[in-house]
Amino acid sequence: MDRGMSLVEIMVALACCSIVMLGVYRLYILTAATFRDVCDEWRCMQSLRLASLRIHTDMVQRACLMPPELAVRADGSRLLIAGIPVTSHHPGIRPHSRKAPPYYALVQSVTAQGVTLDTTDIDGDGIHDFAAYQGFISDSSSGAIHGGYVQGTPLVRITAETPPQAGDRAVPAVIYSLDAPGLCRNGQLIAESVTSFEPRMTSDGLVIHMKARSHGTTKDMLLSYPVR
Amino acid sequence: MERPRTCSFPTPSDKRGFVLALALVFLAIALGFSLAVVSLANTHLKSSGAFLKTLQQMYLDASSGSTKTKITVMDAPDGWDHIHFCTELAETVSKNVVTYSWRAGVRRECMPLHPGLLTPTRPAAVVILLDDSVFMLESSGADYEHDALFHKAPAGCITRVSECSEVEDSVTTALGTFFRGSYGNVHERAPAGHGRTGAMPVVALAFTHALSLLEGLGGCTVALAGISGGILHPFTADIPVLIRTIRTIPLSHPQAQLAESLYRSLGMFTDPCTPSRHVILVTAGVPAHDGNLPGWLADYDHDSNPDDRFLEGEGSHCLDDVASYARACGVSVHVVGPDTAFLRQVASKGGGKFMPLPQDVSARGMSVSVPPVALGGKVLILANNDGDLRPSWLSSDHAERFRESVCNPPEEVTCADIPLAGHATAFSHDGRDLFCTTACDRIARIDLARQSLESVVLGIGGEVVIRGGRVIAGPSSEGTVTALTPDLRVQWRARGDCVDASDSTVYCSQGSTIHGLARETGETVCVAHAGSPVTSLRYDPVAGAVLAGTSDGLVFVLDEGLKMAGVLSTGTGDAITDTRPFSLRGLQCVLAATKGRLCLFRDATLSWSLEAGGLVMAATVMDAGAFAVVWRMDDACAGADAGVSTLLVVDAAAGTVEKSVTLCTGLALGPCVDLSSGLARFVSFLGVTAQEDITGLHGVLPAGLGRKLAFGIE
Repeated sequence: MDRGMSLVEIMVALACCSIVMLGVYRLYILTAATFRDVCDEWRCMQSLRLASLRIHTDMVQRACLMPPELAVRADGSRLLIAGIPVTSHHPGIRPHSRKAPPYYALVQSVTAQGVTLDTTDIDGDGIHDFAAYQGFISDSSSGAIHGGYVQGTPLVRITAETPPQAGDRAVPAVIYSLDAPGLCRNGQLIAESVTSFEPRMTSDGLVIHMKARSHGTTKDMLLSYPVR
Repeated sequence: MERPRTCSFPTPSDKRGFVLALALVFLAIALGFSLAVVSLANTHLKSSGAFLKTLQQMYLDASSGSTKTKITVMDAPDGWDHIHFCTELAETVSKNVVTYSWRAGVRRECMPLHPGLLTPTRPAAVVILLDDSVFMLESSGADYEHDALFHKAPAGCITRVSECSEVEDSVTTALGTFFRGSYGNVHERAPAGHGRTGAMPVVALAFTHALSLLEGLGGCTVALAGISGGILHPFTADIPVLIRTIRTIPLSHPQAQLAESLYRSLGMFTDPCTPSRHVILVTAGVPAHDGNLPGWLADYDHDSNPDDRFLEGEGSHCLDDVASYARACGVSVHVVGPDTAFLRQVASKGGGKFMPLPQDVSARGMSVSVPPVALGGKVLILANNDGDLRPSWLSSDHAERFRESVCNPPEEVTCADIPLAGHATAFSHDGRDLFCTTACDRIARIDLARQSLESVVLGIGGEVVIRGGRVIAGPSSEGTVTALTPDLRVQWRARGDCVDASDSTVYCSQGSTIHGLARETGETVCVAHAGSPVTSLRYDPVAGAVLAGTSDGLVFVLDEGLKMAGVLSTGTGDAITDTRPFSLRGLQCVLAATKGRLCLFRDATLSWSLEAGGLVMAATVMDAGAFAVVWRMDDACAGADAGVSTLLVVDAAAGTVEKSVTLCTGLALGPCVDLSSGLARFVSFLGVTAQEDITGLHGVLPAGLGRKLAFGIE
């Protein structure tokens, strides 16, 4: 037991170990790279999937009980889908007992302060349907409702490239926009790896080209929805 | 000698496989990394699978599995007539997906705006010449029917009301005295005269027949004349007015210038449009102080009767000569009165009938006076035959027949002898029963499934509205609006010229005053004044507004409590015949029709006004288009079977004519919007059907309103 190892034994052992370690290290490098790539791909794909699922869910429910002409707007890197997501705070647009759909508000006047609507409760269920950070679609315009908007106020401040016109029909919308942290929905980050978001309306409908990037790994996704 | 080797760092094992163990440890670590990668890949795959499953769940086929559809009836859609249409919202639940769709539904039928024009070309012109002499009060030779009910007007005219009597002996009301036949045989005996005995006077016999005949003359123009006082009522197609006039004639004239008055009555036929001319002489057949005629006429029939001359007392025999002359002039002379040889001879020489029936005076054949009824794929036409509502598809007639009790109005009594007289004037249905009024003030309940007549009630006419389980009908020819239960039990009556109803209130106009009456009791709950006579009254169920069109071209917009909300002016001064409220992109609009013009008000401002180029017979709004049936008739003598009807489609927003389609010859009735087949159906006065495809209108076919996912609450 106390004899120890001879130099030769140690040298042979070290050589063997080095070879094995090198092999293992190569394997580790390979595995770690694969792990990172897979992780990045997974992250990209998860972001794209999450974004596409959200978009898909909203597209499926687009303009529910609202005018179909106001269903979707693609505004640069912003996508607006008419509708209100069902949340614990809002039951979504619901059929009224008497008032016939489609439901919408009418733009009564447009000023520098914002857009005055005839109602903020388009389905008459007693719950205000326009809220801050949501989207806003009218016949001639679309944009985002300003974060400072107080729900229930007829004067709605919106950020839009072109202002709506008096007499326009207006509906609340879900807005997707690409901001610094990633793809946001109604101002909330939903897919951080999304680096490119290009919705556009074509003759066939809505086409969305999304790209996600994570540590050099890039994935893209093309979504297409037939929209009248 | 082997020197033992010593080492300050002894190996933990002296086994030779230790190095291999170390290598295996490294391999295990590498394997761990590999497993981690595989695990990550597996997670990736699972994530993909979950994504796929989520997508698959989103694309659930609505046709697979159990689906439940709920239909909700709502207010009219945007761009559609609020009165005529409603919205049917279909809510289909399939697993976790709720799908919405809508289509327009018919809320109320579109009735013709000028029912008084529903007479054929060259209808028969009839003069009813009434003997108002005291001889009418003499015995007719017959007794009163024992169980029949008779009415003695304050002026003395006695007529039979019905074959049944709820009066035991007699009862006196504001309308006069009603008595049972058995009572009349004792207490209302007519004096014997001219060889005739019997309790019933001639007037009861002759006027009762005349009234019955008159009810069957719908579509004819009829005038009333008395032998003593000339014209009692000029030519009119309003039969109920004539019936009321007859009942008020006093029978007190001591002379009976039958031949002279018959001769004078021939001068009443001045209208060149009526080649078929008749005189119905309702008489006791006792000429007195009669025969003062031109010499050539006194014995026109050359029968050399010595009494063919003027006689101071009774006995002049010139009546048959004048009847012969009338026949030669193309006027048929019919006689209603006691069955005597003289009167039969007069009828014979006059080319008419003794005790004529309506078909002897005017054989009018088939006609249609209301739009078709579209129901569950079937199209029913409420055709009239010889002026009475008698559709061929009405398979059975086991109807209960009611009239208002003369003792305890509005209580009703059952009487079998109430015919369904008069052409159809308006109808409404609730999908199960159809309620139709006639020009002779009858309302009929028809079971649509069995296509059978169930009830007929006398004394109720005008438009029909079904609201909140009540049938509101009116005004009748007497200007009465009646609220009935669905089995046609009268709830209350009120006076009114125009009528419409909400679920809680019935709105009636009388002159320029509009009353709001409680639907259940008929009590007045609100009143408004329009300043000029109201010619059209509509309730907008969507806006909860009352629209009152006036004779001077104004439309008053009132709230449900009849408080003034605004006034719309057509600027033409023409009487408003109809108003049709609708909304266009949320803006309240009103389509107002006058006799020959359409006007559209948008947000209380006159948006456009359009000359229709004819008589606007019906107007409605569908998918932001104003649809008007316009009847053009150039011939002044022509009736509802002549001319051309056109469907005019006007863009409600712009006021431009989008389409003008010729529908049929003659007056077209409709549109009957048959949404199940996507057609607007019309029928002409002569029963020729026409249709217009309206499937291109948004809302005729079910239109999607999107989907809602039941999961995914954030």
